[in-house]
Amino acid sequence: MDGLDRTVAEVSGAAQSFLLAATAPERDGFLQAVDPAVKLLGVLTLLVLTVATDRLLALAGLATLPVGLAIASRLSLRTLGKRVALPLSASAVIVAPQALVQPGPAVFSLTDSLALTAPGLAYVATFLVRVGTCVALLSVLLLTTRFSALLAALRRLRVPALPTTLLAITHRSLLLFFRELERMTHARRSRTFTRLSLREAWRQTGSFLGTFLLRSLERGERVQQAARARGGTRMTPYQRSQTVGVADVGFGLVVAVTVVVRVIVG
Amino acid sequence: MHIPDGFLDLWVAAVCALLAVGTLTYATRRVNGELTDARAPVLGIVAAGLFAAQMLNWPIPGGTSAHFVGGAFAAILLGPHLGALCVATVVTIQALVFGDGGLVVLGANVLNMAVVEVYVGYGVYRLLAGHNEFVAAFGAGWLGITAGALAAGLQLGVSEAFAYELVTTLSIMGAGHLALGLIEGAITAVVYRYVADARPDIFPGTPRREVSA
Repeated sequence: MDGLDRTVAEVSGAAQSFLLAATAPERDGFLQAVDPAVKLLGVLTLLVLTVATDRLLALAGLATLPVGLAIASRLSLRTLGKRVALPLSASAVIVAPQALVQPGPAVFSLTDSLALTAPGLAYVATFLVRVGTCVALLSVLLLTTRFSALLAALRRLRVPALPTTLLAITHRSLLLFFRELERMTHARRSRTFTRLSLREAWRQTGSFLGTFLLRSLERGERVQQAARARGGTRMTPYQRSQTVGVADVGFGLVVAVTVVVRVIVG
Repeated sequence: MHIPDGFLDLWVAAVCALLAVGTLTYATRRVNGELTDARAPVLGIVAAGLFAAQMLNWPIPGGTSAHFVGGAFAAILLGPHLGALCVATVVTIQALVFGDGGLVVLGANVLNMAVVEVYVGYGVYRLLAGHNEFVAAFGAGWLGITAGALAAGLQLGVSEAFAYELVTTLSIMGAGHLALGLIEGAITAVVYRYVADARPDIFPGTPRREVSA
């Protein structure tokens, strides 16, 4: 198995697990009962609030929200943690040097000229709590809402039909794309007996990607022709109606109280 | 290059969102009626391909992360306006399905990857295609992704929430993607040549190409 095989296997596996593991939105939890449009607007409000906050204590308070919402929605905290961990660790790598370069009293000296400073550590902590809270809030939204429900919410919020349709077409093509990719990788592996030189590997990889694109395209055209044969070529606007329920009011209250407390506390 | 929520100031995110919406509205008007039944699967598959390519991320200290974007390839294959809408769709799905990139900063991510990269990439392609289409595709991929990264570096640099200075963010994002862009350009060129040889009919506005039996 060479680099291309490994990359394709990893990317394809990760993407398919995301696309197929959609059981959480079906659970009988708090956020699952909230209208997707209300949920989307509420989470967006909380995100704006978090982004606009630069005090560590206030951010720490906001950070408890996604955890509380996840528990109320019967989400696994382990799953939530996994989704937050990757972007948070990437952010940590990016801002970690600030703990050393920001001027201020030293908290811990690494060498004679290099020390962790108090303002630097405070900045890094604030930044990471803010980013972690934002990622957690977005994850809670995504883990409790089906993609089709999000599309319906966008339509209800008056997002034009064309972008919604484009999102639907692309989302529908993803599984097809990844499965085609897996089949091709499997076939390529079974045909490969010798170790390729760098030049040969580059040439083969280019052909592989080109062939894959064409095969996927032709497959997509067949799918489209089949849909047309069944009369299903009209772009569905994903319009749905839903009455306001107790969960919607409850979530609205959570958002409103958070905004009021944040404004009062500062 | 995906910027998560919390990296940009609100005003920066708002300005970027306005610019992105304005440009995509213009693009939508230009492709109105172009998104036919026959064109829809092309768009979906290209978007899905870009989607997979963009999942490979490497963090860069002082910037965000580096990965393949494929905006220039989408612009060449679909035309700049449909290409911009296609990449914007991919970036939005990445945010709404995978949580890759933030919701508040979605406009900024769309601006960098679906507007700046696509239109700069297409501009470079059009500029060089008359001389050598392979080189033009390479230049489009290379300079398109670098321009998108510079736009991200600019947004990060002017944001107070992100403590690095503008010179630092521009240098790191620009230099990092100038190097990564060589690979992006090479892949764009190799795949472009293969697809152009095999299916020249799928490229828009290329009356010079003829399919021989």
